[in-house]
Amino acid sequence: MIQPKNTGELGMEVRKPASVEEAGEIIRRAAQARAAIFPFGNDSKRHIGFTPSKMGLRLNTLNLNRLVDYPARDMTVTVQAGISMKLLRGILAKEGQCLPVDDPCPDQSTLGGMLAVNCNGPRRFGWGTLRDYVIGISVINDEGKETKAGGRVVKNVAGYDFCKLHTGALGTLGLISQVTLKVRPKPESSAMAVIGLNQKDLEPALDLVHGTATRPVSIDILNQAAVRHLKPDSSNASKDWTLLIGFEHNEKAVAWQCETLMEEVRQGLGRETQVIPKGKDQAIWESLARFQAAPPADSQATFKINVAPAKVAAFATLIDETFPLCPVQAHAGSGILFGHVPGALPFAEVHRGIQSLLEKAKRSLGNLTILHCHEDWKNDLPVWGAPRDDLFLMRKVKESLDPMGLFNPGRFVDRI
Amino acid sequence: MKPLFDKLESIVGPGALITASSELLVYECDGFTIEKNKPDVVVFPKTTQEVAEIVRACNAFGVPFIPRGAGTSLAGGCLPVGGGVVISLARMKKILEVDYRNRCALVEPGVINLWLTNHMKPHGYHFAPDPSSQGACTIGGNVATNSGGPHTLKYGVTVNHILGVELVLPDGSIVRTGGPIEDNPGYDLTGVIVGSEGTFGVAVKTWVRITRNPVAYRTLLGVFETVDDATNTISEIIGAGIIPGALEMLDQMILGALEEAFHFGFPLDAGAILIMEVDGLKAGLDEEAERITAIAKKNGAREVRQADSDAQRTLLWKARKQAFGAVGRLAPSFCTQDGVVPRSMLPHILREIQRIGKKYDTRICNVFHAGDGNIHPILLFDERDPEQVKRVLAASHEILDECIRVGGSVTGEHGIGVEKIDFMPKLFSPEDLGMMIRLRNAFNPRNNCSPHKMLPTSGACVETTRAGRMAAL
Repeated sequence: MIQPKNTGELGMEVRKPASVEEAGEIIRRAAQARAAIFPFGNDSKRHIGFTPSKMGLRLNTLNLNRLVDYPARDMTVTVQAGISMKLLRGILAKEGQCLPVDDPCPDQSTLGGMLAVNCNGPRRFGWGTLRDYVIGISVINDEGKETKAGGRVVKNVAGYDFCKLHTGALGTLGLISQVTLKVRPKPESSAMAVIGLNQKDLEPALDLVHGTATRPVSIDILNQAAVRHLKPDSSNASKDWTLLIGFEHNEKAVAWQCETLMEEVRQGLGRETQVIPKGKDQAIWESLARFQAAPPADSQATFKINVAPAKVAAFATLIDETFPLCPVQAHAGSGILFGHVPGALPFAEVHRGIQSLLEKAKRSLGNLTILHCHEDWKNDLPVWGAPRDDLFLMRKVKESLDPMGLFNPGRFVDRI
Repeated sequence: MKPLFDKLESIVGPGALITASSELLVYECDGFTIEKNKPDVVVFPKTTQEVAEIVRACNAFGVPFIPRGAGTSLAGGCLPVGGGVVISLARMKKILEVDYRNRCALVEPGVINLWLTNHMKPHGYHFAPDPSSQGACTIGGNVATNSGGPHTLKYGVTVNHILGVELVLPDGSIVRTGGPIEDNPGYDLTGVIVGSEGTFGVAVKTWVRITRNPVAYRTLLGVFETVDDATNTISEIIGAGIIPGALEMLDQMILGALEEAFHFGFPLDAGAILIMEVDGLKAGLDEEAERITAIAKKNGAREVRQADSDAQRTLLWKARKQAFGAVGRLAPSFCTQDGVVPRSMLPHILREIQRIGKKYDTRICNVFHAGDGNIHPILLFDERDPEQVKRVLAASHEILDECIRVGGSVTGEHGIGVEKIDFMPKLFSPEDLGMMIRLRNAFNPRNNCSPHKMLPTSGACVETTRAGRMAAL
């Protein structure tokens, strides 16, 4: 298995500030010394992006983990960004609330890391993505000063929305130090509907779910290899595809949706639906969330394709054909697909397959990025996909906010 | 200016330019009428290319420019401070594409918000942001101000529904950010363009997410003796884990005006009413409505009525959304504020508003998005009387200062515009504002696109020459 390590950062000095002031001071000194800053928490996302372009300090955020304010009745929470997601979930659960964003590394993620990478999972279809929940942000800038944007109220349009800009910026615009999130009540009930499909049924099934009278919060598909990877003993492993439809709502609405969907699937596809009820569905939700960050031990690379939802069936099939035995998952309602390139393929073949998928995704106005691969493959694989025509503007934003290239230099799109 | 006018006319052709002083009056302000300033010219492009050429011409002549939609904004966002060219997007009003299978649509900026929703109605979809002005406001304007509306409590604000934009940058170049497909690699430029109040360029196309219509609604009208009872109800509904589609409050003064205008049957002796709407699937919806009713009654509601037909629900929402129009019955002029407080501070801020109204001898009525903590005190006055104008401004500022003091914001959905520039240094430190200026410089380095908006001229201090405000005073 590829270790999630980034050789470029190995051997760098590590600092673990105990306060925002101390973090600011470290950054200020690094800026003076023209060294770079590489923020990290538990290192669960270090494999993402290019190898750093220069040396510097690794700045550990785990001590910046304070719960600042949690007025549960206002359904907002303010925390320092180094807080572990596990701890945050626990705090919210005590008040019957949650952040309805899936976490691919639920035992390791920090909130700051989730934000930097813009982690999302199956629930994005129904509940939106992480960016939709960030209402306030504090960031230590290139001068070592903590600056803020947004606020602590759920609706606020004063000033530019830096919350969106930093979400998914891979920490290249500053060190996220504090975050205010909008949270939601934990749904009263949930269930997962599971349907086994043959290849020819895949597209009609996704079309059917698109028009369903129900309101799923997640629509995922897994191929055989993915089902075997996640749950080797699964009864659906004999089918070409497994369709998993998640519901979260009050008990009555979940029950009605399960029945309605069953009937729709029976009528439209002549297939039976297995419903995994609340309580037993948790493991499936978690597996679906973890898939993207949990390649099989022998996998050589993990890629993500983003296309229009209507093209998911075609691209899922295409991946299957390009890389036989490649575990494939798609968040079908959102047009997001993940594949783990199986082991034993020579680099040339992996490269050819990835390039071919990227070209096809581009022709469909989509893209392909690499989440995980051998460090020395990064020079040749399209780590951040094909450049888009707003790249020059991204460069201007980077130059304006981090002119010295202090934060995570070289790792993000176009080696920004 | 003649050479500029000639150049602009050569770009857009005859009949797409306004230069006559009397006609320019229409463009001297938006819904915030306290500050006014005429542009030198208004130009009406029809294509992206024309917008780009106009912007390049403005650059060549060294003249500032500012995009404008329907002008329904309420904070002076499209006020042409210092004159210049207003680029009206009113003629770019095509719905270019609606892709139901992929749940997105591509629209030009002059498309009226409600047109898009009406267009999609037969297919069971809508555009979720529904500002009260949705019958007039444009999607370009919604993007500029990151508009909200009554249903944002459950469905989110504009930025949650924008997938990408085509933007004419202030140097005249054209760029596309985001697009119909999610998760494009790189910075979320779209996310920061939304709500930038026209200071990053002119958005000429927008990819919006479209949302399936709820199958059913339960719309409840709770009648309360006091504002406190109503606000406690709001707090308890949210605390019980129910997220209604909308949770709106109207106070006694506005009820009188609305009743006169719409004859809905509002109880005129009530201290406040709440419009409480749950929507979604039919299954479980009645139970939700019952829980809300019980909470309202527990908190002293003397009556909870349920709209028993679509027509009644429509009339109720019409009354709510046109409340601002009905205010015309109460006074010749009004100024609507847009503060936000943590929901739990609603009872406090409403008491403060009452106190401040008395202090400045100004009548203030309230109709607002209670579920979001987004207050809209409407200050009534006569703009012909400079004394009243002064008092209204002072009262507004005191209300907004109190919103900041209790941890809120001075604008939930209307924007900073010119009206609230003075508040930016109260909300943000010089360093915070410095970062905002740095970000603006990435898009708009010469600050020639919507100048004097949102940010004070230097990070720390507020602009001191305010032609519009001086004129009004």
